[in-house]
Amino acid sequence: MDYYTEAHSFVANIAYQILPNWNITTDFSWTIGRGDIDKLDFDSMYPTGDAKLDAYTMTSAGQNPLQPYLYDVAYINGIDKYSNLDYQQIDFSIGTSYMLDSGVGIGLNYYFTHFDDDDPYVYGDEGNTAQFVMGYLTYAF
Amino acid sequence: MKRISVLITVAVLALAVIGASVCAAEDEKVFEGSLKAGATWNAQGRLHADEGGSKGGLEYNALAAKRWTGVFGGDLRVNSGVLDLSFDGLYRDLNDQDYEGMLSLGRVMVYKADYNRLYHRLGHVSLDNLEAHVFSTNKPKGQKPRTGTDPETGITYNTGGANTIGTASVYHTDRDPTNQYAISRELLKHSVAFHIPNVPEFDLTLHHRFEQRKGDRQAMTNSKCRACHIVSDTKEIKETNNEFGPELNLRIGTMAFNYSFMHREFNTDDQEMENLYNNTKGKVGEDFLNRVQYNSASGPLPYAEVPENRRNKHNAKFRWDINGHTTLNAFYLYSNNKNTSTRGAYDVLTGNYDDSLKLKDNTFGGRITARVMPGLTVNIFGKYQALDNSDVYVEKVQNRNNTKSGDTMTLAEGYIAHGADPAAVEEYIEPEYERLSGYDSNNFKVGVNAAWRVLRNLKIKGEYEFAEENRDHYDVHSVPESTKEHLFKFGADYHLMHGLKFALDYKMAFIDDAYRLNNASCTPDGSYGRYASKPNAADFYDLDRAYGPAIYDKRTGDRSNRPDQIYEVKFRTYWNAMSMLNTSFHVKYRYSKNGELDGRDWSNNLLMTGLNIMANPIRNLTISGGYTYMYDSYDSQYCIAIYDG
Repeated sequence: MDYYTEAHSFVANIAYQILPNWNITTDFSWTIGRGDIDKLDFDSMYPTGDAKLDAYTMTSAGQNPLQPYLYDVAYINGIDKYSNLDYQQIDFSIGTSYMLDSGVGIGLNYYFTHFDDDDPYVYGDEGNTAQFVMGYLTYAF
Repeated sequence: MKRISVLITVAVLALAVIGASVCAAEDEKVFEGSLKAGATWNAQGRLHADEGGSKGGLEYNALAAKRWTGVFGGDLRVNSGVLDLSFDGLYRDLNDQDYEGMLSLGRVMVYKADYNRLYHRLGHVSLDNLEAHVFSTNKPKGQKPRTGTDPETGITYNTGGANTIGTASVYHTDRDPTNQYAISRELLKHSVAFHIPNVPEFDLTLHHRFEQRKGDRQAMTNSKCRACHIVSDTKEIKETNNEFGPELNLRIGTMAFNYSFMHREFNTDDQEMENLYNNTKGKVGEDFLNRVQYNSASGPLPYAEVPENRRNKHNAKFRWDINGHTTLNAFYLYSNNKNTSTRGAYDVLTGNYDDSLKLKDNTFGGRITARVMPGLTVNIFGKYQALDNSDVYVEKVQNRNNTKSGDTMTLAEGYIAHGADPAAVEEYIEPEYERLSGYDSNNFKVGVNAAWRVLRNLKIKGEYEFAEENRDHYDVHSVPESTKEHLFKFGADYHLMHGLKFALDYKMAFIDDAYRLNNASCTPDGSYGRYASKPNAADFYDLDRAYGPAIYDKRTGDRSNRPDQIYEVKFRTYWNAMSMLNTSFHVKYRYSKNGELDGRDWSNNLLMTGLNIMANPIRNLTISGGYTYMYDSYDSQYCIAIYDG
């Protein structure tokens, strides 16, 4: 059984001081994550080889002849899908701040997050998008 | 919040004390700082509770559940000569706070504190993956039988005429399906250091670390109907980790001594989760009461419990600069970790009445570093570790089946009554025994390495290390008695020209008897063993069809995910192309495998690589970027365990 995970991650940052009292900063990151178990493909083990169970199943009236399938390894085929991981996340932010001569400053930041969940599993689809805007005043003394 | 108040109070008092100094200091600015106030607007809209686990990218974002939040912060610097103080803080939400501060009184006493609080969204498992009720035509309420043919397996379900056979089915119930689980974590670290004036050889520091986790999470267990029904519920969490202790440094001539003691207590006031289980029933009416350790008459059992523990650790370090070329380092570590929650309701399961589990660690080691000639440095090092874990007395509760079927035997009596050898039954049942810990071991490591600057711009390195683990109770845990590892490292650093450097490292390790579980899986002929629990008394008490003899004892495959061979190569380069451009590139590849698993080898391939660039194309402009790639793959034999019960 093969299992793999892989991840690509890009990051970038730009910081620029336009004027002595005015600067701007931006950040960007992009992450891609994948993981997978190779497809499982078991042959059916029916009949089970357990003569006693088979004999009981085949000769007892009223019993379901499919009973041995309860223990068939082929029934496990498909669980590899539970291992699938496929997502990407993008984070971006940009902000600027400006300082007045009097020591008073203003700032404005924007944040963006996007998450794509292309193969949801036990936690459900975790994909979403979020945006935040933050404004603030500063006073230096 | 009390701790934040303490920090703020300290800051205010300090400001009051230095007020006069501030007024007196006309030329020198001893008091400076800034204040910050604002608000954050959630432009996308609140993350609603009914969105369940949709937390991707927002796992640690406390602001996502609110439309508006305030932002308050500031910093303060005071340098009066006698009293120095600094403080930085930012409040964005009750669950998003950061503060750090320092107060120095003439450098004789220095107090440092760091506090932060964050929010961690946890997942909510739907439990759908546990569904396994495919064969039942006599379906429970709300469940649908599977029909038709599976295109992948070719199995046709419910072809008609079938009666109930659904006893291997598993159902689930989420008792709180809309709750969005999260934990709020607070961490306070602070220390106070004392430096005696005119005695620079000695200093004493008192450390304290306090961590608290509050919130709720999903807890899972079997329902009262036992393993055929999985249920989950909400568990309220309130845990604290309290850690404190002194550290002293002493320097005498060319020798330096460091000693620290740490006492840590992990305590929990979590919601106590309990479940009362019904007696297990067989599919055709046989009672299985004598096959389980737990008797429902004993009351409910706890589940999803995190044990409390207490740890004491002594750590001593010694350094001696013997001469200008040779240094000796030595250390000793003693640690005693005590699990204080193994009593109470668990006694009924373990028989370990009123006792606590302890893990003791005694480790000592040393290193000699010598510059044997100009450009050549040699290290010789070694370490010894002894781990001692508590043994546990286990007494199995031998229940009797009830009288419904007229059968009142214990399981052992049943086996013997149906012809089993009493000695074999005794060996299989083990009514009471001493559980010897798999942690008990004696381990050591010795090695030597050298670095030689062959040329002004070329340094070569080499290392050999031998490590051995010896396990005291390897036989009862079906693991190797000892594991021996030979590790070799080679490397070179080359400085080609100004601003361009290369580093190449190669590592290989050969391990004899890597840690593994012997006879862990796989029957020899793929027959999957024979089944137990046939619905008549003769088979029910047929020892040859019990799980031990029929399944566990038949397994022949050793399993491990530890390698017996490792090969790793790393390459790094740094290039300062010009004053405004820096780049670095790294790549690592590792191949490891275990070929001691009877042909069922385990292997791992790991590749990591990345590129980083930083540039200053014009004044006041900085651009940086990076790319990282990771590929990790495993290949392992998979043996399917088949259970019938």
